[in-house]
Amino acid sequence: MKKNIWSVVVLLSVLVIFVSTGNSQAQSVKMLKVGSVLPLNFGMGVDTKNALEMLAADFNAAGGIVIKGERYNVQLIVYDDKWTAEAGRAAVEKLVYQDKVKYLISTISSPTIVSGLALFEQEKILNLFAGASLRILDPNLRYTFGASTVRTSLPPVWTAARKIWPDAKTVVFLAPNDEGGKARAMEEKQVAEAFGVKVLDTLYYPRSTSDFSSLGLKANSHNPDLIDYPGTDAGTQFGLQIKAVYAAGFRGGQVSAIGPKMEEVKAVTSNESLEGLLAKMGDTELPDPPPVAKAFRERVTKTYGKWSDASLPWIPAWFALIEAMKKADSVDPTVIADYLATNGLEWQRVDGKAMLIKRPDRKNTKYCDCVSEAQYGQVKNGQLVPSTRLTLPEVLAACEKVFGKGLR
Amino acid sequence: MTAELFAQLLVNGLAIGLIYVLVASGLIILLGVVRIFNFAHAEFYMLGAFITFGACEILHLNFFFSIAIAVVVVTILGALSYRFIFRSLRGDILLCTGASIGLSMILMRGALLGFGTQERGLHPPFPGNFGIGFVTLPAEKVIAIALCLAVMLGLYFLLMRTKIGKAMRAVKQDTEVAALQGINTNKIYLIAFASACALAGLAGGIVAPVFSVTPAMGHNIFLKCLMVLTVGGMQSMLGGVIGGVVVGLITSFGMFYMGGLTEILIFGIIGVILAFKPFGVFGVPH
Repeated sequence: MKKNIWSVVVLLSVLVIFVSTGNSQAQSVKMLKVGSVLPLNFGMGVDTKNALEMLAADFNAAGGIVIKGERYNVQLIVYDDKWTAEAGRAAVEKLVYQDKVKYLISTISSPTIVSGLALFEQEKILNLFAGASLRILDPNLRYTFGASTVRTSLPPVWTAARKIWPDAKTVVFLAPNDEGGKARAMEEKQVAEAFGVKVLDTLYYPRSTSDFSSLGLKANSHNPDLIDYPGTDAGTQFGLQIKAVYAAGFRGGQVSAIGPKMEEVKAVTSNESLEGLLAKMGDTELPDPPPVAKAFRERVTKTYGKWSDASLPWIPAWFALIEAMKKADSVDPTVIADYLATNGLEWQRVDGKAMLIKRPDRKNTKYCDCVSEAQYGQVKNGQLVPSTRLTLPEVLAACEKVFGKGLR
Repeated sequence: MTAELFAQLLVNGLAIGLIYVLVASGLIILLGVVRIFNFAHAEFYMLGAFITFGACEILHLNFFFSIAIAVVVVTILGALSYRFIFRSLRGDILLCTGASIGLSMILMRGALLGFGTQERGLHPPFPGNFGIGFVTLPAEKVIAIALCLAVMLGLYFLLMRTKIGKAMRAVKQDTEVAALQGINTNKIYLIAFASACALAGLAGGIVAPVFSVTPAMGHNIFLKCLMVLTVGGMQSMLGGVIGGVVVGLITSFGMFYMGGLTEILIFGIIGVILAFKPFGVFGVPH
């Protein structure tokens, strides 16, 4: 009997030691809940979700991050907003109140973010936004920052265009006849004019248009030096526009602030019509990509079976969040937000370096927006080949030309 | 506006207008002979475009051969859908309309499931331009016009010079008298339905390399064809031709001068026409 009691005591002791060791191991790695709200009814939303999940898994597998002696892993929670304010607001509330996330990254949809801006301030949620809305530059916002270059991508494009076509004086825009297309065309008008190029006309078309013949003729009838496509779709519709413009007889320069889906574009238009087109080009698409871009491309291809660069504009917020935690040496959203607003941030993305900037033109003298290195390509014989790369100082200079001084 | 610009807009308008004519002709045959308003008609146009795309881009077949395959497949599908859906419902307008809406949804959703939402483009089989005097015209538009005109002539020959065409016209005029004259009306309905689908499939095949191919492409052209029928008259083939060309030209010149507001112009002109000719320019009161 006595022997049995001792056996039980020994067993229980072993059990207690085992459980307590397990607990201490679990306690040694804490979990940071990071949320994202993406339009999963669009390919880019799905690609961004895939990329973020892959990055989070790799980050955790590599041991996470150590802040003030504590090791942290990330739990990523992604919800669908279908690019609507209603679904977006519901997703944001679920993330904040139910999942208790403290960080929101890479959200693309402006309606979602705009509907949640007050909530982020109230609940102290660090929001590194990837979309285009200018509302996030409001100087009264403490917790929201732009982590993508959508608001600052046009000045560098026009710097590159100016390098290629220094004598160009006029441009015609073809833009979708909706809020996004109109906003983009208005922004681009401001930028083109800052670079000394007069906008002769902006031709708006319904998003569902497939026959651009008349618009091509109209654009060419202005006899512009350049044609630009603000806010356009990157695939087949973009190709149809180029085809129509070329068929109308236009042989000048063509500019696109977005990277075209060359396979789709080339399926509907000839190589001749594309010749010389200046467009954004991701580092992952370079013939000899930098190591970070190459590794990311290989990792995505290995994980998902195919490569897509659709996530690249939206995932920089992930890298910004990790770098911000390191620099602020804190996981407290308020500490990080104040650090970012005061000191700014420079970080490495998949396609080049990025940094936070101030936007005094929007009456915001805190760091709140983002610029990055920019790579552009020109189409030669049906292939987009690298033509111009702008460093961070060059991009900053281009932006200061349009937005005014004091961005740093 | 220069003469060259005018000619280019004219050719663009004619090209798209004649595509409308092809699709609308099918609808007119359906309305006149079979007396069915087929909401799925435009989906046969979409299927024609996808089959042409697949035959050209995947099987790497000749463009004209691909169109022929598209026409054959769409004709068979049309005949099958008449035989198994509309034949037993014919005579009941509500049931036929409901069935055609259902068929339209099945075909479109099927295309979405099968091909996805991505727009597809067919490599232009006729790149380059034709220079005619001082005017330069896109080769694919000129060929599209030529094809449409050839088909319209063929259709005219079929309706006016062949026994089947005469039988169709007889059934259109008076079904009972035609049946008393020994015409197999059920067979004529089947042929008319399949021919209408063939016209839609052919139009889809012709348009595939000119624009893009998407599961939703039928929706836009269907609305345009309704405008064509409203302008020309619901059962008049000549009205369909005139209506198609008019809508095509308004679209072409309207996009040049008014851009995205062209639809307003079209609806305005239709409103004016209906004010004076409530059954369309060539329509007759029922």
